[in-house]
Amino acid sequence: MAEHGRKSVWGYVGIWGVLVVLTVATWLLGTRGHLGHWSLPVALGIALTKTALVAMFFMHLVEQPGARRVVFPVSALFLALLLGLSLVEAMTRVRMARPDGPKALEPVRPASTRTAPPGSPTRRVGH
Amino acid sequence: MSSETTPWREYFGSRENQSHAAQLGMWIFLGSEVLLFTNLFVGYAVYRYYYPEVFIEASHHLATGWATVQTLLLVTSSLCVALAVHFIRSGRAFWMGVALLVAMGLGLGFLVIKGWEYWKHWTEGALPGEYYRLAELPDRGGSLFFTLYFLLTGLHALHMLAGLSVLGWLVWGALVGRYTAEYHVPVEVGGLYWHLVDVFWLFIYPLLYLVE
Repeated sequence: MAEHGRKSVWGYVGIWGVLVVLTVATWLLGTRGHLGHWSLPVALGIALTKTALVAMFFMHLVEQPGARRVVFPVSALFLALLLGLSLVEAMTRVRMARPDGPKALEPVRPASTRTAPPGSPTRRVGH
Repeated sequence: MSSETTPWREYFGSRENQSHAAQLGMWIFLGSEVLLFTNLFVGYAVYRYYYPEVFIEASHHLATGWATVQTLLLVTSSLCVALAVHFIRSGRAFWMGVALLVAMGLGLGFLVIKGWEYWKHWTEGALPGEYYRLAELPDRGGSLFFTLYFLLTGLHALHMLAGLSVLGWLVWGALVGRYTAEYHVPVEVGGLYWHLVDVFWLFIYPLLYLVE
């Protein structure tokens, strides 16, 4: 804990004020905005902005030297890789059909994922 | 230097090295926590892509106003933890304890609201997996949404409980005068954990409650 700049309490309170404003903004936009396709990018953008503020100032990432700076952004990068590639895979699936007709090659999924009604006697929990 | 009287260890070479090692270790742990939650976020993303309409309907079924209150509680508790670190850096252990106690109160308020939400879901049958029996939403997608809802908020609530224990331990350390302006590594890294739990909620909140 070497000498760090004598920051004032009001700097933290200012960051908190911005976070509160962003929270109320995302709530209003999410419930009354009717942004349609833009609602998810806007909500995630606000969440990322809030995360950047918390990480930089509340978690003091802005004053960290060396390796400690790298770990958190790298974990975010891996999150983006796993999320992005999984989604790309899900969004670009092609339903293959047999050449001799419209019958699909893949088994049709069942209409419900339930195997037994809730509260079957074989279960310990449930209603 | 005997280990009973001082938190500093000789084998780090210097006090600065020791505090750097502790903080780097904590950041690596936080990185692993991010990857733990990543799995649930990926599951959420894929199933939201498959059942977008059901996710919108299910999201409207949740108490969005209360979730906003929860977000404000957590953000304010993060401010208190940041202030606690700020106070102990200049040696004010008493104010550090006060700030952490306020943060713990806000965290408990968060968990009380969460418990009330869970109880509401229990009574209406919006339960995960095969116990889902909410008539207003289709089984497919609806039961998946609530499975993801309980996994995300449940794992987050467990992290909140762990964070509250950490903060309580730090308050006790402040009471017995363990932390000074020179030595307060546990306060720094414990605070990091609490902030990360806050960051997870910043994403869980719009993804579950504000689906449009």
